[in-house]
Amino acid sequence: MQRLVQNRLVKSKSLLLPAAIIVALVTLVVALTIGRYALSFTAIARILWAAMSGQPQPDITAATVLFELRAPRVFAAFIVGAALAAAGAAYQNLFRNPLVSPDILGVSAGASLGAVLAILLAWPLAALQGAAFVGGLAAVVAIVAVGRLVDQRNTMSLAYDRTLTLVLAGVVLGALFSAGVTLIKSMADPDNKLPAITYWLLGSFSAVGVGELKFALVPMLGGLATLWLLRWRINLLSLTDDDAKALGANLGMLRLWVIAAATLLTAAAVAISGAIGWIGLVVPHAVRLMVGAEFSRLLPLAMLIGGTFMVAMDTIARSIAATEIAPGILTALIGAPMFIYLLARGHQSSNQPQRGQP
Amino acid sequence: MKRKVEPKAPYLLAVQGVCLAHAGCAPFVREVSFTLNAGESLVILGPNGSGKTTLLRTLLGLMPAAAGSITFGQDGRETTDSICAYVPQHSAPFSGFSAVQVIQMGLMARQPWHAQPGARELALALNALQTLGINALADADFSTLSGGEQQLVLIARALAMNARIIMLDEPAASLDLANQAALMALCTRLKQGGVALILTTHNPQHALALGVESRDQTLTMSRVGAVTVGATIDVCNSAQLSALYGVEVEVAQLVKRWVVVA
Repeated sequence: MQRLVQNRLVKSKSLLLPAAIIVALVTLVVALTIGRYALSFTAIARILWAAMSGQPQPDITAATVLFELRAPRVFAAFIVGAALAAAGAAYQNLFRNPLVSPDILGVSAGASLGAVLAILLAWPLAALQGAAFVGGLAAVVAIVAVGRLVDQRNTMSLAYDRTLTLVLAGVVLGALFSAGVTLIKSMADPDNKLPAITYWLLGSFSAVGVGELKFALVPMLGGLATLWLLRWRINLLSLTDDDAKALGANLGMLRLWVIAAATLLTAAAVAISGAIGWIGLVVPHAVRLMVGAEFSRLLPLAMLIGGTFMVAMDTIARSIAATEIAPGILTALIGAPMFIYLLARGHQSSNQPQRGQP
Repeated sequence: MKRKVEPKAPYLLAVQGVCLAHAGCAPFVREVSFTLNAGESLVILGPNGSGKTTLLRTLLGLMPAAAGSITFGQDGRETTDSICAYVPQHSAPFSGFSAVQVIQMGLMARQPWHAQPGARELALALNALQTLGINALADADFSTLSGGEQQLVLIARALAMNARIIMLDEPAASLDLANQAALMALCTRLKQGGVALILTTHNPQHALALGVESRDQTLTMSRVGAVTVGATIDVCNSAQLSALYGVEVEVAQLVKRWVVVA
């Protein structure tokens, strides 16, 4: 009987992707209509029709709002959410741990430090992205090194908790990078650079224009294409080291590629909107509960849901109050309780050896 | 240390003078030598801490031997992947993978980076599950299965890969009495199907259960590094087991079975 139910569940899973696509499209359209300058569905349809048929726009203001302000912003929120969810899914497989994400591992903080340094030095956008990538990469390398070191020292201990090691290492690194950010802020020119840095650190989509988007698309597509091409191979990362080695799989290069792709995605997202937390943790985790960990199924759904979630959060953030609130506040409101719930639920799923169980 | 594959060897595995040592230390196990053929078994028997798992990991190539050679012979039959497959004591992959997907990982491990499992991999996986009579587990989340079921899935993975040698690390350690008996029956069946088995255990009963014909070998490892290899029936007698475990052990025949009493 239980198997029957399970089989039915497997079938219903195939409907999840189309359902997620529909929800994503509806959310995107609704997000385009909402805002200080309200655009009705028909107004959007008319503007799009005029743009496609090459006729002059009947309402120049509405068209400008749509193309110059709202569409870039909604699109940016979507790709940032999708990128963070994809990066989170990749990190979770890489570390064989469902409780890690770009922000918990300190990758977002590392990327922030790089970006803030770039703002201080008035580097161009491409260099800012590069600096964010280098900062994020430094964080991953440090986490991997700390993880290996603590693993080696504790292989014999039954009480050893690998999840705790990673999360704590992430906390420590995050604090270290934050200290770096504070140092840069204290060095920055208080009239000019400091407000720019502070504003950027708040994390927002309000300043995103077509130019920023174009810039972010290249690293984003690069990271996503890498993850997509490796989508089945990434599953092998979930094997224990011994098992993978005995099977003859050489995972060294694969790890490097996945780290590079996920960090690139994180850095590009951070460069657009600052460090927005929790999406990279909660979305892949929830999607894994729905469709399982198989990465070729996990990745597209995590991206769709991550993007949709981010668009919804940003739309609420810019319309709920007279002044905009940072979308990171809303994601934290949802993400933090979720993290505590996941932690309390117990992480049987991480690679704790289950000794003596029949 | 040499580790090689010999295309036309008269054996599946030949181990010659292998010594085990921790990095920078003197060997704690000296001169392990044996050969293994299709349909044969070798039980690595010894008390806890005698180096059984270390020897198994060395045979698998997971760690280097201090000396000696390990040669795999191919008997011409096609293998999907490597000649030997490993069934670890604990294999907790990330939660959320079905049993079929775990088997597919074994099949995909040596494929190029862009390969996707296709109809062939699915059929191989389902077939192997069918062979072991566990097709009901196909879609079940591997991480939620019991230790015994996980082991069966990993044995199915070895079968799907058409492994010629299956190496099992303490396969009976987490099983209750009924499942231990079922495992031993399965191992006997695998042997009859032409697979060579190497398994570690600290229970001499399992060595005797796997067979007492001349081709069923047992390798004992003592805590002080002494190694003996021979037919199970010669190695697992009262005197040798008493010396191995340091307690009075008696081996007796009961109807058609051999029992060990400590």
